[in-house]
Amino acid sequence: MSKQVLDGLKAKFGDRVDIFERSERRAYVTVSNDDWIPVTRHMYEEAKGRLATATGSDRSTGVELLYHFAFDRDGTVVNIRTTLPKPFPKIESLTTYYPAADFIEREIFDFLGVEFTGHHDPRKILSSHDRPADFHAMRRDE
Amino acid sequence: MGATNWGFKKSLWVFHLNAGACNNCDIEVLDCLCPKYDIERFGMKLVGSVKHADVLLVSGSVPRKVVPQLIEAYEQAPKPVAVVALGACGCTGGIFKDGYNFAGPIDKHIPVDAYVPGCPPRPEAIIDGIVKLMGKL
Amino acid sequence: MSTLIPIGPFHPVLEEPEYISLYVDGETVEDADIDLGRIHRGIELLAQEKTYDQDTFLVERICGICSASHSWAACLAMEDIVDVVIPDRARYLRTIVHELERLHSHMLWVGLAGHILGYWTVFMWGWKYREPVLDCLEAITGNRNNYAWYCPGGVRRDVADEIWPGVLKAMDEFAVQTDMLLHAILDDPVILGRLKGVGILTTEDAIAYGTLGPTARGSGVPIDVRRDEPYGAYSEVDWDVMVQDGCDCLAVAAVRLLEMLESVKIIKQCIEKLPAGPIATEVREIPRGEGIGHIEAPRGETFHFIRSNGTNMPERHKMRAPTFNNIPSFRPRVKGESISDAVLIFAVIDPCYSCTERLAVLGPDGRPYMKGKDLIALSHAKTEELRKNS
Repeated sequence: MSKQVLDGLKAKFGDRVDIFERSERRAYVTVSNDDWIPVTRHMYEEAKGRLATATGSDRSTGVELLYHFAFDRDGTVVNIRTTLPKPFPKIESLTTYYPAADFIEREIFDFLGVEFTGHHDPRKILSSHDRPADFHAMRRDE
Repeated sequence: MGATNWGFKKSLWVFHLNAGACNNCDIEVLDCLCPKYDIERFGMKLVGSVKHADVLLVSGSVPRKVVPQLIEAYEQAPKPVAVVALGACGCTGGIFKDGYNFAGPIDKHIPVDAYVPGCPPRPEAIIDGIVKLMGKL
Repeated sequence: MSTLIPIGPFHPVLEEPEYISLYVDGETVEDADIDLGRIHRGIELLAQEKTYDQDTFLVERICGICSASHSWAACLAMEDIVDVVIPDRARYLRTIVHELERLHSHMLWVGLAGHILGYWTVFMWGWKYREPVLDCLEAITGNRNNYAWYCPGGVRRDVADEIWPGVLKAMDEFAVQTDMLLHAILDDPVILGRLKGVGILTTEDAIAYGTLGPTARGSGVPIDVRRDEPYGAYSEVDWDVMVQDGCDCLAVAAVRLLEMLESVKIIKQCIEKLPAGPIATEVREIPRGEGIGHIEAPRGETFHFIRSNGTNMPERHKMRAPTFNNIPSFRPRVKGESISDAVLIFAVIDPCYSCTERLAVLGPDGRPYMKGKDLIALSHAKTEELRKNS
């Protein structure tokens, strides 16, 4: 099951990844902002995961990113989590090596104002053009 | 009976506008075209340009981004033009009326002549709505 | 020097308002850009203000064509938090409605593809054959679309056994019609000319862009949530994942057509095996936690993530429809193609889009002497002739 993937993460990153196995098919991995790109890149390039989607949410601790990697060969989903500090959350974009992250990162930028550095097309994706540039629908602090 | 009304009596040309609908109303409109319902019996057909339309069939809850285009489409249509608001979202906003991006319903932006409620309205209801509208014109 | 050609937001071949900018040089498309957001209704935020029971109705209205998929995925996400055992009868009933939805969605696409190709006949036929499926759905759930069928723990209503023979009969007829349509489309030299080798999406690109469903399977990526992480009754029935490695529009069309026959197989087996018993386990409350539900909707994987804080409303409900992942693949597909194929290529990834019995050729005595079947036979003969000559 997802054991193989999680063992690979543990072997490569050791204590820097905090793994919580919710069930046989679901695992949540928390990483620091600095380990974000190495861990997600490992998930895509070595573990051969597929980025199903990403969830951004505004929580009391900051803006939380949860990237859902699906492993179709064994039907599991491993989620990589990191929390970005408010009020100006900023992280490196996955699009530099994985085009699938393009639209979802634009959506998270649109709704939560997370700045993805290195994104080739950092425009808002869904919200109306007449909204101010700093309008982010899902931010709770304003 | 003026020339316009005489023209309206038969062969209404319908242009369908999706202003933020979930596709359900839209596929039911297309269903009206298919052999089972076949609205062409009544002389109605869907046209590809708003400039050929006698009836604007508007569905959807009208999100904020589509408002300018909706108004422009209405302005481009040759007058007189009848507007039909389709579905629960089109009539009142339905389940989406509390949404932050909701800018509707349709009659807030363009004058509406007929309302066809339902989520989605059945093809029979859509045909009934337009036939009643023909009587009104 | 490239010219910009705008398509939309209200365009006769687009069902929904999207704005596509095509950058063309002569007739060749150099690049494309898509502006979304005209149907953005803020459902994710609305879901946070509704209770779990209301949520299943809200997510149905994300897309009218995938309404069963979204509400099932949301229920799976809730059930992932609660760890509830779903009764066998509910699993089978859920599967039947979901597969019926796949049939009507794929048939709708076949029709719309015909409409875009300029084959009005395919449109009328596809939509005619789709109607009995909608009738089956109405018999089972009570509505043609937006079924309100799924609830956390099971399904909302039980079904009387008397309706199944009618559904089985409709499925048998549907299989015959699909088979006929499959051969009519895949043997037609004109349709082949429009689809074959057009809009190539290589396997590498399909993986890199994270494409899903028939779009990925048409490019030789064998993914299908129904097989990979079996939910419902899919592990208990016999069916195959349809994968084509043509990477072009034809391959995607073939995947969809072949999948319809598989769906008919699944539905018939489910009806035969349908167990008796309760239809739902009661879910009284949803504890704190995070749950994920993903299922194979007609267009690909639908993904729902729910975070519960122990109240009766979700703290965060993330939903992602397959088209969101499939749209970016339009760019690699369309580059270098002719403008006339651009809309077709766009249609091949998603938009959810064909009468013969009505047409009767009258003989000198005013009685019909050629009916649908004869015309189909005539058409087959003509196709054979065309193929020999070409």
